[in-house]
Amino acid sequence: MDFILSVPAIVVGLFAAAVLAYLLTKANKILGALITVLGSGAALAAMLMLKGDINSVQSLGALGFKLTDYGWFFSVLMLLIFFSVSFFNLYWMKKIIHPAAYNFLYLVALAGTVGAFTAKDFIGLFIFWETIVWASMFIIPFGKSRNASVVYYAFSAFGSLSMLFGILYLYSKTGSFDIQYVLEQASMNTTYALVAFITIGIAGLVKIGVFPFHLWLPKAHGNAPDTFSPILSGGLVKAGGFAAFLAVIVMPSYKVFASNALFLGRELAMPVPNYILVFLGAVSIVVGTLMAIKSEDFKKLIAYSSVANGGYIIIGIAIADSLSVGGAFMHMFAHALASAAAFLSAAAVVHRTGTTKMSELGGLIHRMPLTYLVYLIAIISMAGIPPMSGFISKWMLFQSMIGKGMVFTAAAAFFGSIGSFLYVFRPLSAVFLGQLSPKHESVKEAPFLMQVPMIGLSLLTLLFGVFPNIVLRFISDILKTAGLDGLTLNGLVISGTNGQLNPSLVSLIFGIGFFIALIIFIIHPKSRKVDLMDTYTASEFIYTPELLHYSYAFYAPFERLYENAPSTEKWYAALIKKIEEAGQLVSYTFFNNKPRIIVFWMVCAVIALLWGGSL
Amino acid sequence: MNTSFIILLIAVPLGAAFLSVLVKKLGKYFLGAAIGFNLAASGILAYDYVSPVIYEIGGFKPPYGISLVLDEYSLLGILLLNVVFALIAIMACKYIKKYEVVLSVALAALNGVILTGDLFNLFVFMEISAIAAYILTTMNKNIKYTFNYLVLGTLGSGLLLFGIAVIYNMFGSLNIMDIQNRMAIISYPVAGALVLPLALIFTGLSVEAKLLPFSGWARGVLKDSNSLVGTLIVSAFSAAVLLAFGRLIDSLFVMSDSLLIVFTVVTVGTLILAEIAAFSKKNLREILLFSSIAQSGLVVALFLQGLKSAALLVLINNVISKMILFTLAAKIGEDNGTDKLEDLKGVFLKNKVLGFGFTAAAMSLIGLPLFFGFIAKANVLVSLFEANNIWLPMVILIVSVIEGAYVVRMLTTLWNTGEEGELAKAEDAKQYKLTNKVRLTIIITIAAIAIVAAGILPLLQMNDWFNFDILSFLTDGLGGV
Repeated sequence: MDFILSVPAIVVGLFAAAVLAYLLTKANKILGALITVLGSGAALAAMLMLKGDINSVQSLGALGFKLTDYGWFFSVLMLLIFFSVSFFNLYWMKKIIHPAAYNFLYLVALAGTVGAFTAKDFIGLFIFWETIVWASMFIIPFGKSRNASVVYYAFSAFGSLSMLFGILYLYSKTGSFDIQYVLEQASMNTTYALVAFITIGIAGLVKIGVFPFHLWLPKAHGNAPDTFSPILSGGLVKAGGFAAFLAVIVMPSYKVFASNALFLGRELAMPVPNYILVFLGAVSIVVGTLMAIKSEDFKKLIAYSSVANGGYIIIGIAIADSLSVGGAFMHMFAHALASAAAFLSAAAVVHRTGTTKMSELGGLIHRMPLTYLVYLIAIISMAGIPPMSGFISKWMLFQSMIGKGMVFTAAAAFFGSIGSFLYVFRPLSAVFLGQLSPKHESVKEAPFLMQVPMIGLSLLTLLFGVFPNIVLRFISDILKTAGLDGLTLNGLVISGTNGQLNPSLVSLIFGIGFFIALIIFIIHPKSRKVDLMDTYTASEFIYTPELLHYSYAFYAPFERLYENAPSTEKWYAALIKKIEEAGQLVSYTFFNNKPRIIVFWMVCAVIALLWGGSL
Repeated sequence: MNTSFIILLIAVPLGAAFLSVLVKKLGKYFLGAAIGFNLAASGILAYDYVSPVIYEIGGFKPPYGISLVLDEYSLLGILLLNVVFALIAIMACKYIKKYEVVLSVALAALNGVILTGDLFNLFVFMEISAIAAYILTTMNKNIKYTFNYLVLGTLGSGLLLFGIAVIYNMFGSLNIMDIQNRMAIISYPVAGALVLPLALIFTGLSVEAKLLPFSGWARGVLKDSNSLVGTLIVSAFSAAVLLAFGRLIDSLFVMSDSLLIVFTVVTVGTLILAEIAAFSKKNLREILLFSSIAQSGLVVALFLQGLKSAALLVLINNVISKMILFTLAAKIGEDNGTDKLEDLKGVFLKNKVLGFGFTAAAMSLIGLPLFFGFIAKANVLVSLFEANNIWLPMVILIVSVIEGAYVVRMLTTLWNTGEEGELAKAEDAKQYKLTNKVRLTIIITIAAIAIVAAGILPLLQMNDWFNFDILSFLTDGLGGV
């Protein structure tokens, strides 16, 4: 295998493209943004061409690269998301405070992503993982909040430094950084396996935003520049799934801890550590769903829905049978496409209207029908309704949970699915349906180059909803190399534990239903359109359309139910306050510019030192 | 190899100081010549270095005379010190006027602190450098803080002297190597007998090394200091003192387990408490000075664990990055009349090159990959794990989350305008000033590039970059040229 078309070449190429994009943006902003399109597109093409080279090993200096099948899957997914979003960069250059740095960091983050998924050694994985962190840490404050970046960094650092601890601990025990070898060695010793599971698991949980580490998602995704939110939500959080996959399946934890399983001998027997992950996943689904329903902000809402979807992925991986892990992979794929599309449609709305506040929007279906359609497809997929790919993954996960007899987890998952109808419908109705605000009479559809990735992602969502076996066959191969059974795929049919699914048939029936509804809609007499200002107000004149918007406090009665629920947000705020107070205390105690007090402390310390020596 | 360069490292700056007193007008040329000479001499010494050399002053054989030791350790020390000193002097040359004598004396004394192989001589050099530091801090125009520093510093050096006296009484020698030899042949348990002198020496050095609770002077002296005084104290002075501390720990500190625990508690406590204090601060220089205190704690803790190479890497990273960070923080403070973070939103829009330098240094400080700090951090953690130490890596990693949070807060604030909830916009940064000085820009840029290069090249060039011995690397890499 020559170097020109290889993983290290892609990584180096992306770094080089990053520098090039920086320099070109200084000359011409659009040209620089174009480099992000071309760079990510070329990298995607190269990665697709490398499919035949899975399991090849290359090195770049002391950094080794190994293209595993799951690494390829994740890389292609990420490259696809980065490539799709990069089209939006062309329109965002004027809105970003440091356009050159943005383009540079965008490609650096992409290079880091590809590097992390294809690293042969843990230390390489960590280096690229941290590179993603710092690249995005600089992009996030270009948006609406500087504090969001600090929150993002603190959480990410907690996760990645936990992983670093595990990596180095295992290095000191096994003498190697090689991922495959280290995990093999770790699986033979329960202590090592536990360290690996906890440390790498925490890195995964933080990254994917599972409770109690979910707080950074709404902060960072909600406040990042509009073009970077889809990257975070659709792309980078999926790296958490990668880490969890390493800890649970590649190691594999479900075999190592099999002896201390709960419910031994029963259908739902599962090692305790895996149960903990399942539990956290279930809590995330509930918390994410409830918080998403509560959100007033469009982007925060999708961010919380990512928390809930992260819960599904973690549950799927932790159950660790072929159907659940396959479902988790499919879900990562489906959710990446859908949430990227949803955030992109949000970005398109912002581009045309300049706001994300739902109460200022409304009726945009008349002006931006295509954006509406993209958002609609995305939320259908996120809610897990056929014929979109999100349905397939949720079906597989539900099959697996029910097959195992995990009633409570399944209940949480069903709750999340029903809840998602509530929250995804709200932006749909508030932003796209209803009455058009007079401010937005002249709004136009998103420009062509924005339409391209949005249409592309929607078509992929639909395609893999109708013919999921295209992806599932590859996922099945991944499962087989990871030591699980493959999926039972028969032509167009997927077999679960208690039934079979023919997505194409389901889609066909759906299509027929849609067609009939369409005919009824066409032949039915048209309804009269009522203008937003056309309302009875006791002979008052109305000047502010927002006041009439019906979406404000949309689910107020529902929210009152959990008004006083404990909040992790408050807990973290209190923690930060305590650290700051402790810092002030240190400062006042030891740095108060009163020599006599410091001399007092010195005498105390000397006594302590002498006393320590005589112990 | 011409060994007389070793003594000249001290003698030439000292001579420059005397000449500056005599001919005040030419002071800056003498100082410049001394700095240039020291740079060249340490370069030549490094180039010619083959094996450790003991230079006997006046030809008296040790243990009778005063000897200077040039081994890999002190070679690294003088290289680092003289380079950093020269860079700071060039960047902050506008403050040098009237302080040429003091700076020359400080340069001589700091080289002496690193090179000396004699305990009493160490005390003398420490005292001279401390006096130079007291005088330099009068530049801050706040005598109260200087006085505070003077009181604590004097108390510290008194304790150091007391400890050295006890050691002399026990072993009848002041030569470090000689004492080491005598310890080996002593009949009673050394560790028990050494508690008193070691505790005194530790305390004495801790004052200058800024360990808690002995570093009460640091905040007042550094929080308003300019880019000459502040930067010298957090990088050059700090480097020399920590190197001396490391040498003593390496050669003299025969500690009982419980004494080691107490020392470790002090150093690790410094690391934790100072990082927390830095997290709570809102002013650039205050954040940096607390970060500097914390890093000193870490370096000494690593020396106590016997991890010399790891400690040196952290020290180098800290000295270089703090030099950049503190210089720029002081400059921002001077140009804008405040170094309060809130009032400096988006200040780097005015001067992106300096901003990049600051960013690279800050990222190296928190040990992010592709910067030198990561190499240092990885080495620290690997060597701790190899020594079967698990709790210290945990502490270091948890503390680095806090450290990362305040550094990231600094970076995001300095690069981006806008209140919370508003988009960052370039137009909002108009009222700031960050003037461009050619010298400053060039040095910061080169130092930043060096930090990045030293972070990337080892990853590509060395298979054992996470586990390499900087001291033997120095001889193989430089001496073997």
